[in-house]
Amino acid sequence: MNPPDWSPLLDLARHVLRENAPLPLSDDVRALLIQTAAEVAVSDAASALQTDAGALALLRECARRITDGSNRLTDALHRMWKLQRQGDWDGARQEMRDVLAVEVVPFYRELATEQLEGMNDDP
Amino acid sequence: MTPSKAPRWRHFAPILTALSLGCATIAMDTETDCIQRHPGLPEACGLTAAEASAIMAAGVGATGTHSNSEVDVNDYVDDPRLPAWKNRCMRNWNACADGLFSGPCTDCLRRCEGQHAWPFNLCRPARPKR
Repeated sequence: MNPPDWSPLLDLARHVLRENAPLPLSDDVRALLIQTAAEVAVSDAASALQTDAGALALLRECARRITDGSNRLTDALHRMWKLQRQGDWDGARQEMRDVLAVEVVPFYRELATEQLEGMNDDP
Repeated sequence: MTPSKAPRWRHFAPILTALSLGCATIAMDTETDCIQRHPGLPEACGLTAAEASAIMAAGVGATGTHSNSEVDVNDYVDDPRLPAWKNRCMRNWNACADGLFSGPCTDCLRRCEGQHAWPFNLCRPARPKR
């Protein structure tokens, strides 16, 4: 999977959600929202874009999944690395399993799976 | 732009980073004090991550102040003065400097500071060694 670049979406989210700017529903922005929605497993993005409120909700949800997933994976990775250093490989593997139990964003799932599979040869 | 005309501000990037993170002063006191005041940002003290870790480890060995033998001197300690997203950015940057992430660590820190989320597409967890 090509790593998704969520910078444009997060920049848009910062501008609209943090700085309270109006959401410009240009063709480019619509395309960005549809693409990002697919990347973060949000369904029916096209319907959401039929109204301004729906588009704003879609932007908010995409940004939330990106940020929440980043935070979840970050925290789990650091716990995993600490457990690995302590020799607790079962605990380390469980950290990635816990991520996979709740994470819906494919890219984050891929990263967690990669780490989990990387521990296959460990005790 | 030729290298000789490269902006000199690049040399101050670590300092600017520290300032942007709300660190009001970077007093040139002992290295240990500096490291403790800027967790996860050894560059603010003119050190690499490995140098900072070695200094802290030497300090612990000399004074015996650590009661928990499992404390890892490489662990980033959250600064309670910073919001959670900043601590996560710094924690990941620290881990990146230690080789736990693959990618341009400082670029990823900058991106994280702007977007409040670590850019895993640029700096992903290092592939486990087999």
